[in-house]
Amino acid sequence: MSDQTQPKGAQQQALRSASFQQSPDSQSESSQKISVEEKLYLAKYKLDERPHLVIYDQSICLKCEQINGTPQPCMILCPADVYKWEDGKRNVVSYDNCVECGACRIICPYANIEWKYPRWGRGLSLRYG
Amino acid sequence: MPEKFDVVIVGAGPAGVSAAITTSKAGLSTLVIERGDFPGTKNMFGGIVFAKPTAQIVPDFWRTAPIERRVIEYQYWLLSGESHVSISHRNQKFAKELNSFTALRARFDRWFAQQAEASGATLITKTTVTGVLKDSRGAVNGVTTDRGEVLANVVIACDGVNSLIAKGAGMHEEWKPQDIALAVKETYSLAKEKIDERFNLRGDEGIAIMIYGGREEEFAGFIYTNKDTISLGIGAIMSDLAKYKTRPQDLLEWIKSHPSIKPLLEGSSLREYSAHLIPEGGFNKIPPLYGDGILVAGDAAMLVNALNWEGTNFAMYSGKFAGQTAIEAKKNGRFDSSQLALYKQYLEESFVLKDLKKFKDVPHYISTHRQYLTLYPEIINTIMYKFFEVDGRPKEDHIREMKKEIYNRRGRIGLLLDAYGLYRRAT
Repeated sequence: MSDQTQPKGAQQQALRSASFQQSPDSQSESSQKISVEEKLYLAKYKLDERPHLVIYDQSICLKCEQINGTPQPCMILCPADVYKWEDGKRNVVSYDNCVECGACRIICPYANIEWKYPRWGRGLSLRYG
Repeated sequence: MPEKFDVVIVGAGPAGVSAAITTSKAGLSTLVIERGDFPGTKNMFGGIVFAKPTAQIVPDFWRTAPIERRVIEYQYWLLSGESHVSISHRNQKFAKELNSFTALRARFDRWFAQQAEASGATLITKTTVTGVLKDSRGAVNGVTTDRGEVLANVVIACDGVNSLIAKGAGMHEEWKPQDIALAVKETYSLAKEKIDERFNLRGDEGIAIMIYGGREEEFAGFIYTNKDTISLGIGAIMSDLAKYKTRPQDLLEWIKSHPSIKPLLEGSSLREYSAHLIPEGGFNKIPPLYGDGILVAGDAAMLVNALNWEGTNFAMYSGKFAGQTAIEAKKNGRFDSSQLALYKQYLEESFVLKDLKKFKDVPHYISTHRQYLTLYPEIINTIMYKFFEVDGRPKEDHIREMKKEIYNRRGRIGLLLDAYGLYRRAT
């Protein structure tokens, strides 16, 4: 919206460029950031040996990569870095990272993720919530 | 033959437990099936719980409930790159007569479920419901779990935002990414005295900060003070995150490092990271709420008023109404959809559907008129900056620049249309 408006004053432009236009990675804080992987170590987790997240068809992920590029929608949305694109051809699912939110299932344009809850109380256990 | 109950409730969150308390108090045999280690371990919210709706389910709950802090101050922030404009309301009336309190789901839901057990409901945990059972006529008459089957006259699906039970029963399709927000949250520990000092609080007083803004994606964030922890979270509509390729965890890191927020967390240490979906489609996207032998309540039925940050109380009320519907159905000995339609009537007569109907066009309106969250917070921040700036130039110049800020970036007609558009839909 704002991009279509008239030229802005220099001050405004400075304000804008100092703010939202940076990519998150270019922020000075990045060196202190804790990775999602490390954050997940804080959680109590019991593994269900049977994966509760399964890609139905890897060839659909390949098609998705050709259309949407990488990272694919599931990899962008997943807050726990469950999905990784490996060797330019395979969607590798680290289901033991999963925080059970459901975002990947809804965002997948091809409904290509079989999404269940872990069994028997396994998976993530929150202590605060 | 599997065991049979009057009511089987899927999920021991605020909706399921409210339903269970209602039905078990009326003497209906009630089973609550929870997939977590204990109720609350799979649940996440902001969050604050409103007191009056809670008292409807458990009178005098504040005597025993694990309340973190009583909210005596509410703040709204409009966030820009390195600034924010806030409006806040602090009132001792909120201390005397409890309006809302901060809570942590893992503690609160566990306590809440104990109230259902005390009323006579049976709770089983570590058990995942995998689908519904149907009789020969197609009416729901029980559930399947990872430990076996259970029969019921009525199944109440309170399984949360993913709503796998209602979807599995064929009641609705998968949600659309434009109707669901994805929120990520972190909980940090900080000594109680530090929190009191930092947020100007005493005793069990607490504060709730709700934050709006837009980078490319529109976001809403929150800060809540608990006893000796602080909750910080941020969420955005899923289709927005996908469109702008924003990872939710990066959005959280960004807001954490914002100069208005970073000092509030100084010296604290991260205790938990979690993520959750919020069903924000509003009234127009509510799925069928009942069918033969089945009722759907809480997040599973998209009963959330995103505009007013209300979800838990909608879950509690809808759970209670589902329970009341099951009680009437039992009296009449009928559990078909025409009998269970009473549930919708209860919801329509209460604030649940009245509020959602009232604001039915707001979610779509805001998401298709992006200036509200991506432009106005910035304009308002710039105007406030110019208002307070003293730089040896006449005020006339400042006023001219303030006007220019609005007119150049939105235009007089745009401004009027935006004011009218929002007024018409939100009042």
